[in-house]
Amino acid sequence: MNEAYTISAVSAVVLASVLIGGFGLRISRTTSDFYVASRTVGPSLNASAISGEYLSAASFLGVAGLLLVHGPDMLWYPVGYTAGYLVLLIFVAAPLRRSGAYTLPDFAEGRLESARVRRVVSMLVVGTGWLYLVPQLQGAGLTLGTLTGSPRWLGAVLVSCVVVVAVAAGGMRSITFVQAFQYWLKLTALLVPAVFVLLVWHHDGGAPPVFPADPGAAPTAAGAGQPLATSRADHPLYATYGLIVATFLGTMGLPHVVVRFYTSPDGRAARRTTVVVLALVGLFYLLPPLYGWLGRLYAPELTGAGDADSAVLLLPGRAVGGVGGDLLGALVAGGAFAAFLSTASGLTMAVAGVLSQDVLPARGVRHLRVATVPAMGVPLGGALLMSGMPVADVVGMAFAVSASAFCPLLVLGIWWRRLTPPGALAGLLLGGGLALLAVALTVAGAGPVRTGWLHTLLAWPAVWSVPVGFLAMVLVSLATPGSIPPHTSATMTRLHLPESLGARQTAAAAAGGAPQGPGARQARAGRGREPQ
Amino acid sequence: MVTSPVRVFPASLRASPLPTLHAVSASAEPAPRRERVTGEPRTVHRLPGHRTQWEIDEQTTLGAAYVRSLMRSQLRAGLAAFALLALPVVTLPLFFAALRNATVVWAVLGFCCYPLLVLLARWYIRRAERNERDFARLVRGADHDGPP
Repeated sequence: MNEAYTISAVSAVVLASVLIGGFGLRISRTTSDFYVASRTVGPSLNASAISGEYLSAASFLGVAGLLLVHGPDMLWYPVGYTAGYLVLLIFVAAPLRRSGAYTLPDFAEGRLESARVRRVVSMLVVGTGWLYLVPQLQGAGLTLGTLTGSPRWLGAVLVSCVVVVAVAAGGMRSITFVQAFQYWLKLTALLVPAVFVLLVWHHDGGAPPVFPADPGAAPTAAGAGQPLATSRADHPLYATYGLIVATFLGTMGLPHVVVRFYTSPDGRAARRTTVVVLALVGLFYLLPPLYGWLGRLYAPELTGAGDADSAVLLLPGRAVGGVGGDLLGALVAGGAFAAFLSTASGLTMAVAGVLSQDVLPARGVRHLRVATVPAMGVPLGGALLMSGMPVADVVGMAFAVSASAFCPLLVLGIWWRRLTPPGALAGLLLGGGLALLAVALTVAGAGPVRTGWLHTLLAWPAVWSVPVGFLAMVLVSLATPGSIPPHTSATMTRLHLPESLGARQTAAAAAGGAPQGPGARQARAGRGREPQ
Repeated sequence: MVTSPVRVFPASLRASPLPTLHAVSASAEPAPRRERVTGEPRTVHRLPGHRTQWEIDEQTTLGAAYVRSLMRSQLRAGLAAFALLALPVVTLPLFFAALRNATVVWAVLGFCCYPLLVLLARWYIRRAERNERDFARLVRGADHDGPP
């Protein structure tokens, strides 16, 4: 009975996503439509879409699972995911929109006028995107496996196929509608069961769950599959700070987050959209902690590595029971699939965009469609090969890489005139490269030591790798004052001047045909193809 | 746009009783090039609005200085908001570790912090948009009665 409900709920979500995506297909005609919805998406629709895209498997399943196992210290995850948007708003949102670039490599090339920096940024974007896609697919396998008993690979393959088809068919415009729908679906899918479970809990007497006084002693069943649990137990305060730095500073560099800002009509709208996103994301994050808290009461045995992530899925059935519990469980499963689909499609879009522009020779929209296959294929392989890492922890690693590489590039690129291409390269390679290496060693479990300080430092790299990235960029830039890009002053004007004042400049440039950056060039190329 | 050249002549010349208008050379000598002077540059301290816009568009030193001032005010707003965020975030884990009271952690991180984040974002936006409005007013010269 349970399986039938779950399968129909998941099928309904997949079908609705494909249908809404197909509706967008009829609108999107040009390259510009395809990539960034022709920049005509209004703030409220865009904010729902950004939130829908952002709330991934880590938010939907992972946060509650970690809270259940490790206690309230893990609340820094949702707080960091939300506060990351505040930091993004403060330092990046409006100038990034005004830069007129589509992707992070576009921004890097436009600001630093260097093809080499662009190439390194492209590689890091692809690496971060793949790292972030793996837990989404793992979560899909876990959800389908937990609720229907299917093998773990089935869910991952299903999500991959749907996303590749959706992205290749419609691009960003269809994704905007799909993701706006998916935000509200995810909120409903957690809110309605939470209300019922709370009612049951109140009826049962309303006793608060008991968490172990020392969160480090909790994960008894951690085992070999959960290397992060031991490091967290060893040095909880360091792990907390590592988490805070990674999530607060990493959000701005996530490839699927960055690409969304180009859909706002102007910098002011980009800023206002971010505030709505902050409110929507914050509203959503009130719910997963509730599941973690009540999960301790109704499913206390789920403290193993892979099992804890299924707490959200199992809680309605455990607490409510009967047909009602099955229906609520199916609703949660549908919401979880919305989470995997939305984040995975946004990431695939971003990674495929970078692959088609910088790795494969560019030939417009058809090439982007081809690029979706490797964009999704590699992380699918990764998800099938490795398992047992908690979903939220793998996502936390993607944040750490993003914070070490892209946060210095964006913040210094936007606010510091003396940034040079060699400086940016040094920061990207030292900060981002070392963070990526540390994360790879931790995931592979092949670190020189499995416990102790070195392991903790590698598992939570952001605390040291972000300062390394910033320092390398600043010091090398100061040492190479001769290679400051020639058009820095013009670029800075473009980034910071409100559009109402800069309109004349862009109009003049468009009339003169002088390209202002790779983004502008493509936008015109896209418009040129419009009559087709 | 100012079309005719305006030259500031030495004080001795400007003090002459003759009207400076149409002071064109009458002789046919080609050697000393004389300039037509159309009037005293009385409003040299206050540039017309479109002039400032032009400075920015054409990437002049003055235009760059305007943009720098906008960047500085926006960076100041951003750093203020970031400090307001960072200060509690850096101290809270230490505070929680010392307190050892899980209920407080649940209440603060699970619920109370989200409205505060949104309020901080709204405060920042208001400040950033005010900076841009002030800058637009400066560039367009909309308030002619205000101080230059």
